[in-house]
Amino acid sequence: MVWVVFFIIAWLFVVASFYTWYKAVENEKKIREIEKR
Amino acid sequence: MSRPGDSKPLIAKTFERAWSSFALLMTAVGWSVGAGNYWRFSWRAANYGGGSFLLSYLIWLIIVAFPLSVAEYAIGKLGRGGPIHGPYNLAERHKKWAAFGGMWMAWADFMIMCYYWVVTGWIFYYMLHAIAGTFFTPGFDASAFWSEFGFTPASLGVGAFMMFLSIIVTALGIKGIGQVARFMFPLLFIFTVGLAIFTVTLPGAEKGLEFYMVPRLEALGDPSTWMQSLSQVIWSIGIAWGFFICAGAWMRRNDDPTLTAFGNVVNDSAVAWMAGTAIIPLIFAISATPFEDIKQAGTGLAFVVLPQLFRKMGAAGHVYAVFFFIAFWFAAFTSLITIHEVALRPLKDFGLKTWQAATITGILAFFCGIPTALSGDWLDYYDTVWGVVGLSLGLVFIALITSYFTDSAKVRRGLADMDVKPFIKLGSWWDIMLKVNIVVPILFFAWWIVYGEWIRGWGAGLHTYYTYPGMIILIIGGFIMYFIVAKSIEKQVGKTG
Repeated sequence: MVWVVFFIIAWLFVVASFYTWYKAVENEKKIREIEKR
Repeated sequence: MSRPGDSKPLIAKTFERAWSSFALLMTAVGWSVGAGNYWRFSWRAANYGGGSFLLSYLIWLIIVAFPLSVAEYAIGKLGRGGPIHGPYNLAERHKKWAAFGGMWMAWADFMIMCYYWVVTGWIFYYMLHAIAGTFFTPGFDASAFWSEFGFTPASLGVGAFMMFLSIIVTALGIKGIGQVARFMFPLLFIFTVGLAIFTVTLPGAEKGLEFYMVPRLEALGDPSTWMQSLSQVIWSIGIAWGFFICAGAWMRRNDDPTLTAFGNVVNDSAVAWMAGTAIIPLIFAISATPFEDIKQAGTGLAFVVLPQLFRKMGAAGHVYAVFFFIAFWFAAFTSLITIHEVALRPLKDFGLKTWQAATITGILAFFCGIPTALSGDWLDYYDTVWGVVGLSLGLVFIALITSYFTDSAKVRRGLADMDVKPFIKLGSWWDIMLKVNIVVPILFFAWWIVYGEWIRGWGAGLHTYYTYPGMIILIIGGFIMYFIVAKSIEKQVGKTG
């Protein structure tokens, strides 16, 4: 039980954190493209 | 498209900064992540229900943290100003109360600064000892080491040095440290993942993990669990301190507040949760009487446990401890600078030079914070009045400013005015969450007080003799501040026409 909760929270927090890093980089690429146009 | 705050700004300022979305996210997260993630989270989680604390923490993240972080960014981005000017410009009615709400956040931020320098000093001291290898000398006793240092004149001296450094950095506007911190955050994140993994693999840690992760019903029925986890969410992420108003004011038109707010919430919570995973189960792995040890360590729990964790790692622990404490100190020190910058902002906005505002707020925070450097009870008291009560009221102000003083649907439209697709689409659910947050902190606060005082017995939940005078000072000070803010605004509006 405890390990199930552990891995759910780990996945939620850690993966979501890395995803925000990735999305921020992606967002910047889009902003630069828009600015170029 | 007309955006709220477009009409009659108090001071039309453009704060926009040339930074990338990634740099903005790392800076915002770097502000959030600091001493609170290790020191305060482990202390509060271990003392207020373990798994129940964690569950209520997760619920607060959804109800309070994300909606109000976006709202706070919106105040800065659409109001184009700091903690006073942003709310004033955004509000369409009760503008002076909106400005007062912002001033309240800056005030709570200042009062927390009064003990934040103390904790930053502890981390600095531990960093020096990690470099010197003190934790790895034979016969090293982590509890004795902490009790010989924490709340002593030595701790006051080291903290004073931190406050002095903060005055220098903020007065001179040194920007390099913020840039270093931007690289330090990912490092600290990865170090913390490593620590958490190491702890959970230790024999005996599973019991601690169970206490930390599995909620117990009786603790969920205790309002202290909910109030302490609420205060931890806002304290650690940095909501209602005025940070996000300033960051919002610096955003470019296409910077997405929903992505930055979500990033703040998950990155900060990830570090706090992993720090808790590294610290709390370790106590169960190394002690036969973990609950007594947790109680005895009190405020200094993280400082008693971390050196023992590095010792357990063997030879590699020394190198790990050095890098970890350097990254940890940077996180705490950059948070101290940010807190200082928010506290001085109202003085600066009302005409003082940066160095004057930095010196005045720094010296005042030092003198107000001396009792917290010398007594754990005083630190707990400051943290209860300002960290719990002061910040919770700040939440109410953010919700009021964005949903009652102005139309939340209009704020949403203002935020959607970007060329890029928002990370999370704000809908009417966001409007509802804002309205809910006008009453939720007040209801929980009332439950906490009534339960603590009437049901459990006078003074059971709070440090009665000094917490109540503190709250009275908070209320009287609030009214005095309201009149100062209102008068200053009248003067400025008069000047700007």
